[in-house]
Amino acid sequence: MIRLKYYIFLPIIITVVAVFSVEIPAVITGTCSNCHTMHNSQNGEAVVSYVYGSETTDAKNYLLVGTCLGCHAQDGFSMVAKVNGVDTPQVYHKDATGDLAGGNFAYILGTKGSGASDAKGHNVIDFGNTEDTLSSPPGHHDPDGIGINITCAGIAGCHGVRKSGGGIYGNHHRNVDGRLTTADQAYNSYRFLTGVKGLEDADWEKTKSVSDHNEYFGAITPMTYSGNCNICHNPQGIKPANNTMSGFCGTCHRYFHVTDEIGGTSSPFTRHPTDVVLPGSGEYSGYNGGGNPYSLVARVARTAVPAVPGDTAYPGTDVVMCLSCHAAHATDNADMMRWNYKSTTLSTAISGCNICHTAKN
Amino acid sequence: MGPTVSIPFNYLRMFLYAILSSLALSGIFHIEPAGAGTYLNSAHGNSSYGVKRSATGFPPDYTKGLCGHCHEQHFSIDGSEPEPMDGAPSNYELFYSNYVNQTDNICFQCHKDISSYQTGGSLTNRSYSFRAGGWTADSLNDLLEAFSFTSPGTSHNLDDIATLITAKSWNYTSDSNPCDACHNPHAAQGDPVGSPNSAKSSGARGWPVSRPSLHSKDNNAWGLWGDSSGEKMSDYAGVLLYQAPYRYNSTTTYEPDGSTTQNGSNLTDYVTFCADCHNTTNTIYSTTLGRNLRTIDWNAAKHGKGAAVLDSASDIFSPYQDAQLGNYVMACTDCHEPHGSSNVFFIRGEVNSSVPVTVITEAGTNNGPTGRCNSEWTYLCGKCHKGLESSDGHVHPSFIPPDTEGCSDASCHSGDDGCIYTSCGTCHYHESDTVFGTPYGEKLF
Repeated sequence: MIRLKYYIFLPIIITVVAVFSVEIPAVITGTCSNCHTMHNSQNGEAVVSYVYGSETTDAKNYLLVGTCLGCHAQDGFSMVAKVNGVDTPQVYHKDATGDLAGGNFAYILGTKGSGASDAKGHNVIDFGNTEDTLSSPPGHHDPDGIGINITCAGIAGCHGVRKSGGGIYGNHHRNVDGRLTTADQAYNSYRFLTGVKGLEDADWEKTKSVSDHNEYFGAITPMTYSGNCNICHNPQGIKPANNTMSGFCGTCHRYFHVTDEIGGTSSPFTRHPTDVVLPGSGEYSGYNGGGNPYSLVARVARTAVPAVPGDTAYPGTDVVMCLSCHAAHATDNADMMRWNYKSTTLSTAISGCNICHTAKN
Repeated sequence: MGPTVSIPFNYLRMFLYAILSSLALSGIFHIEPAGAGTYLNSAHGNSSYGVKRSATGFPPDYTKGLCGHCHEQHFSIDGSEPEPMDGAPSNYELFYSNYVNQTDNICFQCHKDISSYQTGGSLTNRSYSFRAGGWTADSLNDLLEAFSFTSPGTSHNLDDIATLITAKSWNYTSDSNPCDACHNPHAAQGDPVGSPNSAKSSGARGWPVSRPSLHSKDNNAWGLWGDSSGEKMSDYAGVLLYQAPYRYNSTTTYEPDGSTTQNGSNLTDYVTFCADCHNTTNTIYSTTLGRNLRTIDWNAAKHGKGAAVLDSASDIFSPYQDAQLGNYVMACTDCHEPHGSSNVFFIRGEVNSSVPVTVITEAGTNNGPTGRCNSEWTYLCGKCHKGLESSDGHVHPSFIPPDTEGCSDASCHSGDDGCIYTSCGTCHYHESDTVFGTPYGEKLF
């Protein structure tokens, strides 16, 4: 009798754990020397070796063996490279087989793809490429104040703590992988994007498919500014109050996101909405064809962070987000688009639009 | 070494020919992929002659037909608003206000012949008399011009249209553009296709309109009207007969496409289309006329499906035949322009092969072709009805109420100004069945 009960309840327990899975701490457990060097000297040679471009091998803050770009932008031929044996996602590489989920800054500099262009990505100053077009983030509420000094992390960056003195410091050690539903600190936020919830793909989408991908968190209504600076400004730094990926983008591109600037919460919108539900009727009901398979080109966000990637989109429930059309870092397309919106072949140029706007083909 | 597989040369050559032919054809005719839908088959979405904005600050390398030519997804391209700059984003992410007034809306930013944002700075759209009638001397060449007629000319009043469609349960809102009452911008085709400076031809037909009563925000649901079987004038006529008017200056070719087809099987069922609004039930206030429009029951009208008789006044020009009187059903576009004209009531400048048609006052008090006053409407009616020239005399039925004096009735032929004509329109207008207020006993139009 006891054994029977066990067999009955075991699947239930497993199901409950799966459905309500908790964040899985994935703190760094390897050897300290993988990332740190006490004296930056070994046999008289500098240990610091993971540097980018003209960066020197001088001793680094926090005794690190490299810099952000030195570790994550090795310009090699693999989108996931080793740093002293540790798999490290690459944001700048020449891997011909593809790119990780955020894209590849190499397209901006032209070391991969169809040629250099500032418009192909977030032109972070760490790569040393002069921004020739923009003078501020489009849609920013204080364009003169912020300028174009975007960096990888910190007060002018995207990752880590976004306030003076902030950055990535300490977060690798406390990192939480997988399903991020707390997002009140950088380390428990999606990809260290403070305040953003989501489900991180374990290999950063080195391999990806309709059922193997990141999951992004969205809301059914964008944030409303209405004079409330707290939707982005917080004592912990800059972060989106609604915890969504689009809200995060809106911390710099506010006019592209908030209800005050996009025409409200329903059609007619004056800017393409984000954090609104992809309608479940009309042309949208045919999202990506029969059965609505999840599209890796025009992605949707979920209003609840799932435990596992979903292979299906749900018009009427899932939401449109910035990353439906754009990649975060860079793509080989103008304006960081996920497809070639500037193709000379019209059907190709609107192919991504047509995944949602299925009757405009 | 393994065995080699040889491909017969002829097969290889045929294959290459097929590939090259396909490439050449697609290059010449801009053949869209097999999966092309309504947008890629529309005028705006055509990769050869579709929409392409040319403006300061706008990317010159957006391919023709791209969404971005009309829709600015963020009200910002490369960090700033391209021209035209109106300082604030517009509904539906359009680059200009969807609708402002009769001569100011998003459509007219391109559909005009001067300062158009369409590449080249000019966008030609011709009148119906030009395109269907073949009257290529008509100088009207753009839509803004067509909607800019003021008295004595007339244009379809867009404010009034907006009022009507918003009041109906057709899924329009107060944000809708009244041009969208008749046209689906994501589906409408040029007619003729891609040749705005040519008259229609059977080999280059497109279908521009969509029925307002079928309007839907779903582009799949709101299709074109006239492009399918069941949507032609021949279908509307049914057991009756639609007779296409002659093309301009021709007695061998017919509207709308200059072919020999005469039964309306190549003409959109404009009666059903127009009757979505102009029917027996809708009350439509006309700002232009300062009154409600007359309701129209085309099923009862003599020029429609109503009974028409062969009598002494019935002597008509070709291609219409006396023997078929009673069977004919006319299309609205046989007499009316859809957008506007230099005449009252959008009367066409060319009707049934000839010009001029000059009807610039509702009462018709101006001199007509023969110099007689009040004879203005004969410009129009006389294109089909004989007996309206001075030399023809005037052959009305002898009995015209309220008295039996017939043609000598003082109300008809002794106006204060001494005119011998009264205007045709005095008695013969849509739905009229009275003469000077007295029932005539049958429809008079």
